[in-house]
Amino acid sequence: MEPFCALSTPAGVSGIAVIRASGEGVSELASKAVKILRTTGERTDAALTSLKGYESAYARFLDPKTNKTIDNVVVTFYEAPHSYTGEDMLEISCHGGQAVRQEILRVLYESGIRPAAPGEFTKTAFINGKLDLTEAEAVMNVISADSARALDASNSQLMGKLRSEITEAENKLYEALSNIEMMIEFPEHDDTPENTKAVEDKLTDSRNTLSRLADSFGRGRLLTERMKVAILGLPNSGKSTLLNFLAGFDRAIVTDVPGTTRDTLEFNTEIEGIPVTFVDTAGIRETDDKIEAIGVKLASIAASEADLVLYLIAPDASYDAVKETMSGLDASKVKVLFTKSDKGANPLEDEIKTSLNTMGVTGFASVSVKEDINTELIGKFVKEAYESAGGLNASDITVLSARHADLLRSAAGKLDEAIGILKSGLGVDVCSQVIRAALDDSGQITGRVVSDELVETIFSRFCIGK
Amino acid sequence: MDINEALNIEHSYLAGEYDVAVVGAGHAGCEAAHACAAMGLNTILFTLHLDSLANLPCNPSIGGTAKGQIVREIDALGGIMGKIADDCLIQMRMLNRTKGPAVHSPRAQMDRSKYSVTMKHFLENTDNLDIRQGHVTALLASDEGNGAYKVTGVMTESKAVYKAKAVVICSGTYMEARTIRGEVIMESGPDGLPRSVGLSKSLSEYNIPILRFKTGTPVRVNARSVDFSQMEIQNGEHDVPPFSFEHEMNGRSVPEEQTPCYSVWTTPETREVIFANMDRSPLYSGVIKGTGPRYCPSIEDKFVKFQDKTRHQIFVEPMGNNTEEMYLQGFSTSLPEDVQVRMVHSLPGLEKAVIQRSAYAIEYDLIEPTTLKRSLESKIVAGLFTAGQINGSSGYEEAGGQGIVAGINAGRYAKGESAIIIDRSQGYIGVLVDDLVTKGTNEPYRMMTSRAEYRLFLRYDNADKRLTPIGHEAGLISEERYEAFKRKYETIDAERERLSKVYVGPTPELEKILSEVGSTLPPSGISLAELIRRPDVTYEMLAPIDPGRPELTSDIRKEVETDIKYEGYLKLEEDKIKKFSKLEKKTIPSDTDYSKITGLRLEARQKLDKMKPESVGQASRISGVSPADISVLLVYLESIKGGADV
Repeated sequence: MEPFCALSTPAGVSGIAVIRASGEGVSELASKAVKILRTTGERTDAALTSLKGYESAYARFLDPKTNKTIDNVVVTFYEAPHSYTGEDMLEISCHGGQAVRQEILRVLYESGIRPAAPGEFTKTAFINGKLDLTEAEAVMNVISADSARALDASNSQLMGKLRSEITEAENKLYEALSNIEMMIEFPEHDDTPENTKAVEDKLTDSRNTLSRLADSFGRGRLLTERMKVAILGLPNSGKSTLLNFLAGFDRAIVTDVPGTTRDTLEFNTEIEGIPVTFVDTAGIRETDDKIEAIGVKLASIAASEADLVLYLIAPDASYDAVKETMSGLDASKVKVLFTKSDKGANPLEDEIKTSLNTMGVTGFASVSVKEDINTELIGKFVKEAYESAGGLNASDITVLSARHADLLRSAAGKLDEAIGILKSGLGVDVCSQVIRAALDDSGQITGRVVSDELVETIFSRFCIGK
Repeated sequence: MDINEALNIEHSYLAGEYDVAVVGAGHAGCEAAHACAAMGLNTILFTLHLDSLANLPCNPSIGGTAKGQIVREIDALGGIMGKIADDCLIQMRMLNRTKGPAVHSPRAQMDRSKYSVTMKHFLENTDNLDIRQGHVTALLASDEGNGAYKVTGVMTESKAVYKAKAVVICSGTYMEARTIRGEVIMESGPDGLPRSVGLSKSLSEYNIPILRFKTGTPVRVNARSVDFSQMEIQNGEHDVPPFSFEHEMNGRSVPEEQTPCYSVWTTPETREVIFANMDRSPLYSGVIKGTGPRYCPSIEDKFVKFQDKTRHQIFVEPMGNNTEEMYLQGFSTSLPEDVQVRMVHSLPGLEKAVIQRSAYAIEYDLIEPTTLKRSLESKIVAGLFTAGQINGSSGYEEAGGQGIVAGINAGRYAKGESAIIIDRSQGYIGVLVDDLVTKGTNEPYRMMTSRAEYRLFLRYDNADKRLTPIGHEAGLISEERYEAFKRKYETIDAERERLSKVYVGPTPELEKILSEVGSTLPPSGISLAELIRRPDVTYEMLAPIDPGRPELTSDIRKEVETDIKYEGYLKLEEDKIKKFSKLEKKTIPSDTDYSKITGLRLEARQKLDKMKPESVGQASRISGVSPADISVLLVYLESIKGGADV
């Protein structure tokens, strides 16, 4: 079985994360990235391949290309057949940050350990007789559930944009390929396009698109980091109360004295399955208090960095104060919560709504945290903001999955090779096979099957016949 | 209808008992019948008309891209198409010489009537084979319950009943055929030959689904009425190996003297004539209901579908040495005869052409190919095999390739032996059969090299390496030929080994050779194999610095060169093939109940249940079956394996 790897702890943020790799030769493949500092057997300077079964080591995990350390990790080697999958396995315990995990996975992919397919660890374990036969059904359910989840992810709006860009690059490749195939299949026709320059241009175009997309991996903020939600409002509008409600415990000090929160408070949670960092800020207000002034400044910074601003308005807030403090905010990011609705509505609510609406604010809700009224609307706002952040401009499309980045890089590499072959004068038959291999890679993202698509493209583009 | 029922019909009689009965003596039927007879089985071959055996009713040529490779594969398996073609060719060319060895494709113009006569005479002299002119109207089979049947024989129009253990039907375009020229519709087979009536109804009585396709053929003109000076001439090539490996090993080469072909372009007038009469085209008026092929469209189709192209190329090809008839390739049409005359006369050099035969479209019945196993045996009627256009394909070579597969497997069925499957990594024949039976087709299926995933490996030169061992296993390759084959590959391996071990220094002599092709001199010693790997360097040009070179035939030299030059890419392809083979070898029991497999998506469940794939590999190629479904299937198969082994 060719080696594969995946994160095996849940995807959310945690203290540590475990990445597993399974298959013949995993240690050799990963050895360049793992510099062992000390093994459990007190050896220093040992090679990864020297670890015995069940032996662990403290090690530096680095990117062999740049020699930069990614994280300090603990690796454990499991020797076949004494492992979960029954094959040689490595378990890498690293720190839990999203960036660290993805960097480690990326390095593993680049070392020749491919991303695991849905349910593959369990499937491999089963096939190698490590699991009981009665577990077969459970295994099959795992596979189908995993792939359904992957499918859901791939159907998201964000993925849709990425896919359409890849599809466009693919279309160019299919055109290039069908040009080559036409030369091959119908050589006796004088009107067959023998234009290798056109083919080369198309290949270069697609290569550039694919490698740009591959390079964008890591820049996709929302999933690689967290979505940032700033909670803003005039002093005593209920910001800390809301945060405590979301956190489930007293995170901020809540008093009735305006200006109690002097610093921004951050809190990580998941809302509707989306990893979110809520930032509670000092009330926005011109102030003479020095500490509070810093807090206020931080609040406006937090608001400008946030993907979503929840702006809280208490029942007693004046229209002028709201208008003044709102003026510096990006209205498209703002959702307004009329808080403490259990204490009665703000008498100016309708007026404020109309006014803010003309400024470009669209989302409003009256909530009471205390009585749990309409609090589910907060989740709705988060989800909407998350989705619209996915609706970035085409130039902002980023690859969010390390597996996709890996496939795109591989495809781009193959296109480089194909261009080289075309220039070298080696047969177009080989060139064509290499382009097909690149399309096999991208097809794993877009789901297109080369042999079917190719024949269709030839028939639709060329008039042929004997 | 079973055999006893048939024998109870008034005036019926038992006319013979055979191991295998082959119905239809076109390119598929001839290969199938020859294969069975060569395997030692008592075989009968039925034809509607003995003088039209192995007819070339359309293009008078054999081979071409992908098709030339198939002819070599048929020959490598021990078939006959390549040998007969070598005897009857009047022009030969190697297509795609500059495009890489994987797509080098031999193509030859045939003397059409000679081909038919030669094949007839050859089969008449084949042991164990009877040839019979007769119109088979019914397949006889016993009801085995649960919708399954088993072949017992065939019956002809004259109530002659033939008992047979296996039946191969290769009905071409003849079943319930009708030809169409504008408003003139004839109940006829191609070339005015009788059509087959009743057989497709007989097949549908066993619940075999029947489809209907359409194809067509162009006008033939008399060469004496053609002004060739207005056309571009296309001469044949002498340095092309013959189709047959045996001929090649015996040092036979194609004839020096060859007959030329010509080409012309349509004119604005051609286009005008066609558009002015489009309302009389049966294709557009809805008279023709069958599905036509996209790769071989009628000329009116080309003008309608590709409006931006104002002209199309037409090839003018000789039909033989003893005839003045010329074939207009690319000019097939179903427009009425009077329009055809004006269309032909609009072409340069054909202004005064005398038409000898009109163009026509033809519609015919075929069976749904997804009801077949990869052995080409029906999943519904045991012992029934089909090959050629009845399975939805198009082309003489595609028919021949299926014919030999169906013949070998019908023979093995009759002997009680397991089927031989050629898979996608072993030959174009494998790709062809797998595509037809796994994906089906909604138009006549033409083989193209782009359909093959492992094209670098599926070359014309190594077809013997890929398939001769299979032909030998089937009993179609003599011991003598097999020994010669083994010697050939021992020689090739030894020469490759030698080339990787002989090192040459950066001498002035080498510099001279390399500078001629613009290649740089290596700084130090380099193996001959390394040099050959360079794109511009050939095996031949290194002769002056390779005194230890053994004397080898040109086919061996060429294959050695290709193997070395493409070694890296071939290795990648072989790795892919290994992965592919793993899944191909995982068989799925035919009684698998997909509704009981949890984790399969509904769509996959339905498709798998309908198709009943033979292997996991085949299952993975069914549209609507996802990689996750395949994983689930693998796990399921592992889980039942534990039980089955006990």
